[in-house]
Amino acid sequence: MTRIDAANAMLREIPVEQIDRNPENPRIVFRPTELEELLESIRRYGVQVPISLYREGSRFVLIDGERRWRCCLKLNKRTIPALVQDKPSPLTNLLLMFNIHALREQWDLFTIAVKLPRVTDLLEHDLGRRPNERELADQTGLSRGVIRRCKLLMELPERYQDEIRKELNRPKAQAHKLTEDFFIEMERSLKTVERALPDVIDSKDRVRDVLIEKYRKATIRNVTDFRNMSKVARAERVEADPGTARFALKKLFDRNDYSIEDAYRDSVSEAYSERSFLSRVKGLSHQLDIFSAREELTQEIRGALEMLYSKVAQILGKKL
Amino acid sequence: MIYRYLPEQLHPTADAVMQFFRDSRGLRKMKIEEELEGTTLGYRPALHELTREGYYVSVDVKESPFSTTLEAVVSDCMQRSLPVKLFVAFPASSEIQDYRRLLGRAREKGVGVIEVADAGCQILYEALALSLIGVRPIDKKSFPPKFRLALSDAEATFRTSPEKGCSLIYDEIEALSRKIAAKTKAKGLWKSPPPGKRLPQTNLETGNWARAIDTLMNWLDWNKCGYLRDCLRRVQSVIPYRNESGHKPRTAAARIKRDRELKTRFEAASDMLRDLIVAARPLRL
Repeated sequence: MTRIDAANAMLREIPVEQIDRNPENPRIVFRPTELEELLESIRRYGVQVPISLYREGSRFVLIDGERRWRCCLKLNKRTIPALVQDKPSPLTNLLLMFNIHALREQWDLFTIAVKLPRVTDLLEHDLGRRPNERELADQTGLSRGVIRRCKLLMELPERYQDEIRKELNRPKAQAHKLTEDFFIEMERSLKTVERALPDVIDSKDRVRDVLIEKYRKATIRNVTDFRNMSKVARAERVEADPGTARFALKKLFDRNDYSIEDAYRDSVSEAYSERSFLSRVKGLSHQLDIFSAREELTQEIRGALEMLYSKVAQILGKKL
Repeated sequence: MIYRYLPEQLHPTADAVMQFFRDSRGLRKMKIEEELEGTTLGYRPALHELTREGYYVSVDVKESPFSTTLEAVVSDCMQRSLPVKLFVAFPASSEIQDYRRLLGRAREKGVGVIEVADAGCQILYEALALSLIGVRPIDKKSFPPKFRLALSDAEATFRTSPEKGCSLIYDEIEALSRKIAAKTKAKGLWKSPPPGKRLPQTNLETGNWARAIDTLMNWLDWNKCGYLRDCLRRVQSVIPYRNESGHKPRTAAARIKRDRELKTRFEAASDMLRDLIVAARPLRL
């Protein structure tokens, strides 16, 4: 269905002016600084890797190498080395670019996310039904995890997508505050809160705005802090008081200096510590079963067990 | 507007600067990312227009005031005497690392810099014709101190008005050659007139310069002043160009030819002045 026959591709010097960009190219961000670096490289050393094209009438359409082509235009080069392939079908055209770019160049996730619905539509047309996640992953060369992350981004309201676009246009070297990762972590966490404590979120956009503002002000320091927000929402799982968790989340979703760290500490921190402790003790108990079957213990193991015994006796003695 | 190279986030900057050149300099037909006609320059500025004076006013739009690639472009224009006035426009909101160094580099290379803000465009540096930038700098230390200020003025003037720059050096050559004429005459270094005739009464100080030098060449006693012969001949040969401003070139090719001539003329004139100063030393002017 999407087999790509590159055997007939020919390496040729193609006039730069006879080439058009591919309207399906998912790359939406061309950062000036990166383009400038490529421009300087091509000025000095020329185009070292041919671009890929297909013929469209008397002209050529880009499959791979839009930035190299743009730089050649800027440098007023007459021709560019190119592999000319057969004209692909619309789906193959798009999948070619996914496979070439997304895997090799590590596109920004948002760039992929924007084009994924189009891939889905074309595949649906081919299959006669909606493709599932596995089929999408097979065809695009992306992992299912990446596809899920893309879907989260595309579910965002337009204005948050615009925020991501704005951030992506900034040079990579500069600190990216509102990255795709930020939105993915926040959305995942908000979904958990919605499921576990639906009454906490009055308006999702208002809560998003508060969290974005807190992140910008560094009240929320790290995107991974949102994982703790999910833990607060799942207070019942660790038998913590859901009322306290609800209160902490409501406070977190108001404009103030209350951070996710604060909410976690005030609601479920202790419960999660206990659960973590219990889980380790269970693991240790299993290990002790293994050692109890041994006839002899090394001096080192014996010393460690004696220290453990003394500490446990001390704690239990106090509690008793 | 349709830009093929320029990244999307710089389109508003390019549009604003195009409007600015239209309003402030009357450039209404700026071309977008096209080659400078007839130059084969390996670079297409974001915008350019060939002016009536034969200069390509070019604008590149970047996130910063200068770049390594532009350095090479400037160098190419200088070497080939391409009549390009290159500006770099950048958005005022850019977070630029090394801003001062880049700004200084642009200025040093004769590249104009325009900052584009919401309030409008501001020219931080005016662009100079790159065809004239490559002129060999005058080693002013090799001249007596009293000439140095005039030479500095000539150099600065040459960058914006090459004819006037040349003219300023010719002023110095003229003044010195007139002094040589007057001094040699006063010191009796001229040939004796034939019996019954007098020395010519040419006004050596304020009269026609060509006539003054012709008189000097005819009457100077070369047996006594042979050391001046070569220099004075060179002076005589440039007099026709003394006030020549010529017709303004109307095409880029004519401008290239003209700027090359002016560069050569400027360099030759400063060399001539230095040689004349050295040659005239025995006269203690």
